[in-house]
Parts: sequence; structure tokens; C-alpha cells
Amino acid sequence: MEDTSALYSDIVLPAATWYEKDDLNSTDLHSFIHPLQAAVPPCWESKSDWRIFQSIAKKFSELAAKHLPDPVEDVVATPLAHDTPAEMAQPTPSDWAHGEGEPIPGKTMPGFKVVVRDYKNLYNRFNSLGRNVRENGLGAHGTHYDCADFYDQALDQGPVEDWGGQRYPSLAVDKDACNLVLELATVTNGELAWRSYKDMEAKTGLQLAHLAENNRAHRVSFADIVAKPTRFVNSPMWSGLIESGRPYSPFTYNVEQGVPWRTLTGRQHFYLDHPGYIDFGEHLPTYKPKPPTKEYGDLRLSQSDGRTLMLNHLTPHGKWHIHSTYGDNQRMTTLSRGCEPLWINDRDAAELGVADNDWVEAHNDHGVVVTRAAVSARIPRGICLHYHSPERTYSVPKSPLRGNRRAGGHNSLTRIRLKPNLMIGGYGQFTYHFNYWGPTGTNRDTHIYVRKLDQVEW
Amino acid sequence: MNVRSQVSMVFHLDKCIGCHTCSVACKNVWTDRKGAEYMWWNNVETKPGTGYPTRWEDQEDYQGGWEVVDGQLRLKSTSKSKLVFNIFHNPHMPSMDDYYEPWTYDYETLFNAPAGDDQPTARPISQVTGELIQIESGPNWDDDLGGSRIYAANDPNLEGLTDTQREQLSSVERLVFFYLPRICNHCLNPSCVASCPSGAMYKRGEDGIVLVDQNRCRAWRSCVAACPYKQVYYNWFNGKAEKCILCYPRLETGQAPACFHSCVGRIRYLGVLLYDADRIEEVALKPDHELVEAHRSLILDPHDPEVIAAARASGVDSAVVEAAQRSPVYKFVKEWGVALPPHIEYRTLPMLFYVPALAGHLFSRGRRCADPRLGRAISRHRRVARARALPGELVRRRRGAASPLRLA
Repeated sequence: MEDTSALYSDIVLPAATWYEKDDLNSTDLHSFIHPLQAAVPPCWESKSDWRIFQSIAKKFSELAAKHLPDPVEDVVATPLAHDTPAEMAQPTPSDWAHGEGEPIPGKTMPGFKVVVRDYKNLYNRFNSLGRNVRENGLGAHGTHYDCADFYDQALDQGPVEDWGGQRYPSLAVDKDACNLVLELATVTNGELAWRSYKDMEAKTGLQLAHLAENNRAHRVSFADIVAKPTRFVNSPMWSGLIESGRPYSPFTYNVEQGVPWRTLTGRQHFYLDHPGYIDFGEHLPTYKPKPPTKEYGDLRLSQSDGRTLMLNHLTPHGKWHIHSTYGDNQRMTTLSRGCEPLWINDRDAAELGVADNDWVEAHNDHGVVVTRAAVSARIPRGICLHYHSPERTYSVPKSPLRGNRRAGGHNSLTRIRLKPNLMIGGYGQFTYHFNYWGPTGTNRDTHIYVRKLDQVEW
Repeated sequence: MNVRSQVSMVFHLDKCIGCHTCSVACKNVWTDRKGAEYMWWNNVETKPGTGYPTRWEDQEDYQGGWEVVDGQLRLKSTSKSKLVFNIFHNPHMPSMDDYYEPWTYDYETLFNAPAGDDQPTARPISQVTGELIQIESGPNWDDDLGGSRIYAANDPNLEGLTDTQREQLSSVERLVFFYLPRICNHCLNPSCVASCPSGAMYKRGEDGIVLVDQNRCRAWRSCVAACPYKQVYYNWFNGKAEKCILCYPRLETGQAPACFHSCVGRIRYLGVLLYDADRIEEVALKPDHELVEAHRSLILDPHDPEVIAAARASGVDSAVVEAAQRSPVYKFVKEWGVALPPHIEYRTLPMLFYVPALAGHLFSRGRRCADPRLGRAISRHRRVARARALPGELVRRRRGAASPLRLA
């Protein structure tokens, strides 16, 4: 959570920190699964994310009993998704909205699904692992496996929820939810990995199940990962093979087992003959020069008055924080400069009459930043760095250019520009997946006017 | 031969990424207290830069360490005659301006600001006075060459550079920098201990850790002035001198010091060195150019039966001798000769050694090396190259002078 946004919020839901909750954490940067453990109870009113969502669901269900007592049907549009057959749904580009071809859900337009919303039972459903897992199995990244026996085992052995005449494995307590995840995931349950490979055998006609043969008895519980770091086991969810301590390397599954890449040809592509890419001149990897400054259109309305310099404004990852997290910790502000300074070249600074640690005002059509200058020969001329993300809760003065209202953070100067050819899909190349792949924002590249500020107002 | 043992240190600078995790670990464990806010028993500096406290290496100004006068070692900062005059004011003592005024923020404003049409913001306040302040310096102010015209350009180590070499510091394509993590060097000839009028400072017999007896300290602050590395601090709240204790409570329970334990780049090596205490004064009196080698000669071979026997005779435990035989510090300092003491000319005989950063050398010299054979050697043999990157070594080699380094 950003502290600055909290100041503008009507309701703040204080989330427990790493050592105040039981949770799982993983990443595609390594092949281990981490536990988060509640070493101490959450401070003051804070709760684990799980408890927060659960509490909202509970209150919501109470209100829904009165206001939305009956199930409601919703039509949900689902994007053509990564690692599904929809990735190759449209080999020739056509837009039915322009009279080209037919609108076919899941092929030339998003898929559609009718979903039943049982709002009155939202809390019950939050606490329960639904029967669909038992009946339909699980899968992701184009894989599938049955797990009815493990579902039944959870009913036998674990805590359960009884409601509406049915019994479900319980997700009510954080740690139980973690254990169910570990029990039903291929990377922590070798039997399910084996089944998932069996399913891939049917899809590819290749022999693959041997990759999980030795792991069929492998199980990982929350207590296991608390006791020691535990690695994943081989699974077709991932493209790297990691048996016997082998380091993870992507696509070893494809290379060594002959599993085709999910492209139109089944091979890796440098060349992409999609007309959209050809129009962009990006059908092969290519160098493209930076557009002229005015093409960015970020300085149309801004005036360069007095001793001002136009600089390219870059907002890289900072040294003293992870995005907005920890940067306002007293240790970090002390080891940096007590604020998030604007780094500029020493000769550029001399032109502006700016000495190290002077206050500067930086602005463009989108917003304004007031901070101190860190003047350094390390920075090339013509650019400036403002590490993201400073909080406006400390050390941010007011802006004379904006009628002496509080100046903004680094993103008050940036805007998002979607790169259009990254939205082209259905051609067996990159396709959308939630929090995994989507068009990049290119929001870290704009231009600003910088000037010295002799006096600051707080 | 009077064999003693010391828990010694090597910092491998090519591996330091300047993350300051060491500083934060130390701060959280030891100096998160009133009066100690400004202390960083472990800090990391960007070089070139003026460091913390600012320009600590300028001994013309600070008068730290020892000098040789009439064949005798003498503290630069004080003497019996000077002490009387400097009781109330020592002109060479660092002041708060030389460190920084520790600050926090007026966070209460965020909760208590009256309703208005603009967002409140917390302003910096001094942790010493509680008053609003303008932040003008910090313990790591010139990080990553911040303010390079003011700080990097005034690094006392650069005084011998030519104008062309200085120009390099302000040219983005050619400049180089590296990080210098620092803790107390736990010297063999500590000027802080020698300077203390109360006898409150001592070097522990069993492991050489330099400590302040908090009960005997009488706030003379001679140690602050006498330490050329400025690794002794004065607690303005309780009136006692404080310094890095090499986390001895951790060491005594088999744990690495907090800064070693937390080091992300794993640049820090800890190990026992055996040395000959009888020769300390003789070595500290050597001319400048002989000091590095003389200092190294104090360190004894822990496999030598004579040394082992002498160690036993002077009460060094056999487990300590075994530790010395396995010591990575011994390898770096004595066997490979690639770890060097910082500012040996201060004559305190530091027991923290640095493997100099090679990366900067490759960029600044190797690429346009006047001698192509040297350039080839650099790429051919990393260890030799590192040795050549040591201060003064390149010049010595060009002149054909004898090298104090064993290049193997």
C-alpha cells in the first residue's frame, strides 16, 4: 500500500506484514516456495489479506441476504488467453467490427461465459473449496489434471465447511488454505505432476510421464516448508526441468523432450509475419530511434520561463526502496538524502545555476515535482533520474507553478502509452495472461522543464 | 617471539554492491539509541568521495594516527603537553557538521493537520534538538557520486592526480567509482587506546577486539581525535565513547558479526591471524614504503612448528591455532598477498584488509594501457591484474621497483 494513497482513502484496510501472517509466496525467479509465518500477531487493527477479504465477504453476505437474496446470472467476457488454444485462434487478422469476417466468441472476439453469482453465500463460498475442483480437475498454462481423490482426502482429513446441504474442504483459516494449495498443485504434489504429464502425453503424443515417475510419492505441506526451503518438482506447468538439484533453465522441457513451443510452427520465432508487425517494421527484432521530443506531446502547454532546461525524465528503480515500499523508513531516508532527489548532470546543473542539494521544480503538461537536486557527473547530459516511487507524505514542498499546492511524485510527470503491436494476439505469439503478459506501458519516458527554486513553501 | 591471535577481516571490494545492508544490520543491533543516532559503526562510502565523517582521510586537518619523531612513535593528535590545552577544545575534533545532524520527520502532522484544501507532508526534524531542520548532509551523502563536483573531486586520496586524471572524474564515459565498506580496523597499534587518559580503552588479549570500558570512560574524547579512521564515536547523551565491538557477544556464541552475517555480496571474510607482538613497535617505525611488507611480516605461519610451539607457550589455545590454519584471511593477506591494509601510513597497523576493486582499474587503465603487454596480462590473469591495481603498484612496476606483493 502506498502511504500517499492512504491519505486520500476513505477506508484503509491495514494489511499484516510478512511476519504477522501465514501465507505462501513464490516467484518465477527461482524454484523454491516460501512460507510467510506469523511470528507475532498482527499489530493493532491489521489483519492478514485473507482475513480482510474474508471479513468483507462476511459483511457483504449479511447485506446480500436482504438486498440480493437470489442468485444472479452475469455474462463475463474472457480474453483470448496465454497458453490456451485461443493463442492460435486467429492466424489471419480480421476485425468483425469493420465487416471483416464473423464475430465468433473465443476466436475473433473474447470468449463469453454465464456465471452465477450467489451473493448471499459469498462468505460460505469464500470459506469452501468448491465441487468444481473435484468434478473438473485443475490446470493452468495449458495443462490439466484430475484431483478428485485428493479433494475427497481433504474432506476426510481436514477441516470442513457444511452449508446448503453439502460438505466442502475448509479454506476458512489461512494455514488450511495454504495446505490445500500445496496439496493440489503439481509442483508440490508429485502424483498430480505425473497426471499432468500423462495429460500432456495425450496432447503431444510424446512420452513425458517419466519426468515425474520418481516423484509420485512426493508431498509438501506447510509444516515442511516452514522446516526448510523446499524446491518444486518437475511439472509441465514450467518449461524448465529441475530434477536432482538441477538449476532451473527455461525451455529445457521443450528442447530435451521435443515438446513443441506454443507458436504457429511449434518452433521458436525470430521472424513474425503478422501484417500488424510488418506494418510496424517489427517483424524482426530491430533498432528504433527515439522519437523527436515534441512527438511525445508532453510539453504542449508547459512554458519554459526564465532559466529552464528541458530534460528527458527517467524514473528507474531506486536504491533505497522497492517501488514505494521502505523508502520512507528512517534508515533509508538517512542513508540517502532525506528525500527522493532529482539526479542531474553537473554541467546541466551549472547552466541552471543549480548547486548540489538546491531545490528544483520540474514540470510538464501532466504535473509537477519539487525536490532537491543531486548533481553528479555520473548522469549523462540531457537526462535526469527521479527514482520511483517517492511518497508525498514526507519532504515534498509546495509548487509555485501550481498555485502553491503540494507538488507531486514521480508519476505526476509520466503517462502511460500502450504499444499497439503488443496488443496483437491470436497468432501463436504472446497472448494476454493476468499479471503475466500484457502490453508494456512505456510510461517511464517523458520530457520535463527543470528550474531552480530559490525558496520553498511547505 | 610473542605469539598472539587476532580475529581479523578481509573485505573484497570487487564484490561490494553498495547496498548498505551491513550498515543497517549494525545500526539496528547496536546504535538505535539516544545519543547514538548519528553513529554508523559500519558504513559504506562511495569512492572517490569524502566519506563519513567528511574528509576523514585528511590527517592534516584531523591529526589522527601516529607519526615518527626522532625515531619514536608519537600520537599526532595529542601528547601530555597538548592534553592540558585541549581539555575544553580540541581543534582537530570532528564536529556535528563533519558527521551530520541526525533527523526524522514530523509525522504527527499527517494525523493532526487541520482540514484544508491541500495534502499535509511531514517535514524533517532534528533528532538532537527536535527542531525543524533543512537536511544539508548525511552519513552517506555522496552515495553513487552524488554531488561529485563537491565530494568526489575533494577526496583527499586524489591530491596527487594530474589535471587530466581529474578531468576523468567529471566525464561520464570515463569516470569510475567503487564502494568502501568500513568498520573499526581493530588495529595492532591502536592510537585510540594509546590516547585515552583514563585507560578506558583496551585491546582484548584473546581476539584483539578493541573496546571501551564504559565504566572507566571519562568523556575526554581523545580517542575520537586520535583514531585516523574516525571509528570511535562520542555519545552526546550518556557522555561515553562508543565504537564497533566486532559483535563480540555474537562471536562468543559462534555467530558472525551482524555486518558479516547480513552481507549480500558475501564480500566479508573473518578468520584468525597469529602475529608476533614483540615486533609491533619495530614495524610501526619503518619508513612508509616498507610498512605494507613489514606489517605482513608480523603475521606468522600457523603451520610452522616453531610458531605453534610459541603460540602454546604464550597461552594461545590449540583450537585457535587450528582456526588460524583454516583462516581465509591468512590466505588473502599472506599466501596470496592480494588483501592490503587501508592507509598503512597512519601506522596503527589495521587488522582489516581490503582486496582492492579491479573493475575501475580495467576501465580507467587497462583499456588504453600504454603497455600492451600489461593490457594482455590483465585479461590473462585476474589475480595478477588485481595486484597491479593496488595503489602505487602500477607505478612501482613501471619503474622496475621491487614489489611488496607476491604475485605467484
